[in-house]
This record gives sequence, structure tokens and C-alpha cells, in this order.
Amino acid sequence: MVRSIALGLAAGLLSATAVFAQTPPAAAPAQPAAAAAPSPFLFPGDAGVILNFVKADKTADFEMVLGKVKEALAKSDKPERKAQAAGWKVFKATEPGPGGAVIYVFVMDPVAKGAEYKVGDILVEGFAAEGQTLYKTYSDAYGTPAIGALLHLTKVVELGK
Amino acid sequence: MLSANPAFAQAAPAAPAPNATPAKSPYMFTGDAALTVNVVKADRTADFEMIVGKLQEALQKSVRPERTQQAAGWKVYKASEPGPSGSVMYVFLFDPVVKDTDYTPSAILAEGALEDVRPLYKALSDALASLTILNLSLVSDFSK
Repeated sequence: MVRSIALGLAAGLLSATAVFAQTPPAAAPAQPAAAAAPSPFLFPGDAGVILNFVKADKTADFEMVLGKVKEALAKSDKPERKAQAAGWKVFKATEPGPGGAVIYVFVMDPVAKGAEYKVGDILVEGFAAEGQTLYKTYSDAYGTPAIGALLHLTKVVELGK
Repeated sequence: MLSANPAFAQAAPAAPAPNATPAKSPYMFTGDAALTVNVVKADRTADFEMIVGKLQEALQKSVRPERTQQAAGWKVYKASEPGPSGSVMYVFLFDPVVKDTDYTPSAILAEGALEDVRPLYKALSDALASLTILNLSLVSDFSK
């Protein structure tokens, strides 16, 4: 039985709307705001994995922006950005995603606790206005759904130890 | 992406046709790294973690150097997010992959086993609701 990754990992799936919402709400809420949900890009455990579904004809754009993310992390003065870079790898899967999308896997191991892994914020920190443009390029590269799974992970065991 | 069925099938297959090429194991990883998402039934997590422990033991006591290398790059994680129908997701991360070496759990368990490992195969098969396997090529290591 072959199962699509989007279905197989549905529980860890976040919609593009939830993950990429950048626009503030149009009107203030009538009721006192409920406690904000923690950002999905904060990883309180030991590691994190994000499966990104990218349009097949936009992989060059996506990889170009990832190069800028790396550059922004490297030149940041913030120690938490250095810590994020130290454990963050990007992989490309051989297996195709839904609709022919290309699956890029972010592996954060170890995670920088308390640091948010929001690509848009990292780009704007590193490149100011150009960062906004880069983020648009990055967002436009995503397929539908954008994220196959966003998993917050706790280490069970390292088999070599 | 594969379901648990092909990866963990234990039943004897029908005799292959003459000159048939054996199917390549999905646990022979071809890239720099690999990731599997093991969706485990909620009431079988203890069985699954027990088997992970047996895998660790088998890898560590193996006299084959490639098994030691496999163990060195193999980490097991549990996801905070629930899987479908309340299942529990365990992620195996293999980084780096030992090329041309089979990571099939049943084969590792069977190597050097002094006990009958068939109950372990069955427990593993029974615990898994589904399995996703991804072969990965490194695009960028942000630390370098």
C-alpha cells in the first residue's frame, strides 16, 4: 500500500495559512485575547523536523533563498542564531511529494531552545527590506500543501550510545 | 513512501521467476541521510520501544564493522504531535547513512540472535500502522 505523505502524516500537518500567515488581523478582537498559542517554529524538545513541499519548477528559487538564510544566520550577532545554524541541515528527498512536489526536509538537531525557526524573520533580520522580497520568493515556491509535517521531537535513544 | 507491509513483510514470498532480479530493500538507503516516520498504534508503543532496544543491542554487539557505523548515525525520536487515530509517531534519523548496507530491522534482529526472533518480527509488524521512508541528499548544512 502506498500512502501519500500528506495523508500519512496528516496529524503533523499545518496548513499554509497557519504557517505563513503574515498579515495582522483587520480589527482588534472584541474580547480579551486568549493566551497566544506557542509558535510551531519553537522547538522545546531535542530536535525538530519539517517536511516542505516545493513546486517542482521553483526548487532553484527555494534553494537560493535557503542560501540567504544560511548567510543571515552566519552573519548574525545573536548567539541564538549561531546556535540554530549549528544544528540545522537541509535535505532533498529522492521520493516525490504530492502533485510532483519536491520534498525538502529541515532537520534541526539539536534545536536551539527558545529560538524561533521562522525563515521570514531570519531573512528580515539579515537583509532588511530585501529580506521581505526573499521571503516572498520563498513562500511562492511552496506547493499545496506547503508543509507535509512539522514535528517536535524528543530523543528516545541514539543507537550508537 | 512505503507502508509497513512491504518493509516488514515476513511471509515467505512465492518462488521468483528464473532470472528475476530481487527487489531492492527499501532499507538500503541511497543518499547522504534517511528518515523514516514510523506510525505506531497507541497501545503498542511499549512493544515498539522494546524492539528499538533490541535493535540497539544487536547493533552494538555485532562483530560487523558496518553495524557499528550504522548505530553511530541512527537516532530515534518520538513526536509530540499525535499521529492518525491517536497513533504515536517515531522518527528514525539516519545521518550519515552507511552506503550499501541494509538497515532492515528484522535482518539486524536476526543476526547473531540466540533466541527465536519471530515473536519480535510479529510484535514489530503488529505495532506499525504505517511507515514512510525518505532517502535524503544533503542540500545545505547551515553550520558550515
